[in-house]
Amino acid sequence: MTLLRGHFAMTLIADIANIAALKSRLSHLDDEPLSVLVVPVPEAERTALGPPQIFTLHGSDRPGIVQQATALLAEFGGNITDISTRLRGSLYVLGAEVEFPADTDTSLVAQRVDQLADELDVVASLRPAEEDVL
Amino acid sequence: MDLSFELPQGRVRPVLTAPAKLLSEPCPEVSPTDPATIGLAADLVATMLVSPGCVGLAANQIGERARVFCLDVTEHPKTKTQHGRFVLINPSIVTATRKTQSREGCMSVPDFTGDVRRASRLVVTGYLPGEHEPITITTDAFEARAIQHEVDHLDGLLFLDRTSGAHALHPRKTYL
Ligand SMILES: [Zn+2]
Repeated sequence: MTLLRGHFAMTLIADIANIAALKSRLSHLDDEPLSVLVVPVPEAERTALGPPQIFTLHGSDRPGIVQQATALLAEFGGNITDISTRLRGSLYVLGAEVEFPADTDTSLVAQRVDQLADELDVVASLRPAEEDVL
Repeated sequence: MDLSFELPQGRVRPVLTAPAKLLSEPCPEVSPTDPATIGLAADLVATMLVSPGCVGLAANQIGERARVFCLDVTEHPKTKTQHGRFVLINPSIVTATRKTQSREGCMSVPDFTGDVRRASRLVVTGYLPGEHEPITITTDAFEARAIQHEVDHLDGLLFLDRTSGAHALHPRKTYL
């Protein structure tokens, strides 16, 4: 759940037997100032995953930052498992946890993240999540 | 080790806040004996002293491209080893070990705090204002964290670049 420029937004993944029934039960919301979209999620491919990575980005808020950042991560098969964004004044901050297929060269992804940051005139980085093994 | 020194009366300078460009640019080394460096050291201390809760300040936070920071963690409850109020020029971290996670804030990011993992044992070298020979500081706990935070500033990094997960950033409450 998040607030994007004052708009409430939420995404859920659920196991639903009867999608048509769900859609019809949600149809009355069309009259409300609310957009509800139900779409099937493709069956996830079972690929071995590498260690989780942390993606951070901050800079002046501008439309398109999230779209371009997530598109870049997706290009390398990155699966965003958790994300949060915050905006205060002109400072926009994004933090995400991303998993890539095990054979991904994450240093290459990190290089592309640097390039994108330059293009967007923001600061961004991709680095391995630090985990304590006890 | 005594790191105290005589500085001229500094000027209180405005503190830049993110997304100011200078905060994400690395600062070049400067001469520790240059009068301009000593003036900058004095301005850093003067600005730190008038800023409530401020335990350290890096040169680019007050708009100067120079590898200089000031620090004073003496009043902080998490401090163990401490070296009083000092200015370090051209700092370089030698060893950083035993990482612990803690929530930190920054005058240049006034609306947020973040969970950051940093070493709790630290060895750092650098120059005191006006000195020709480098010194080595060995410290721990909060002073170690604060020094790493300031050296990060001089490398063009904010704690926003070091947060430990998707939910490691928190809005800072302001109490009026
Ligand atoms: Zn700071």
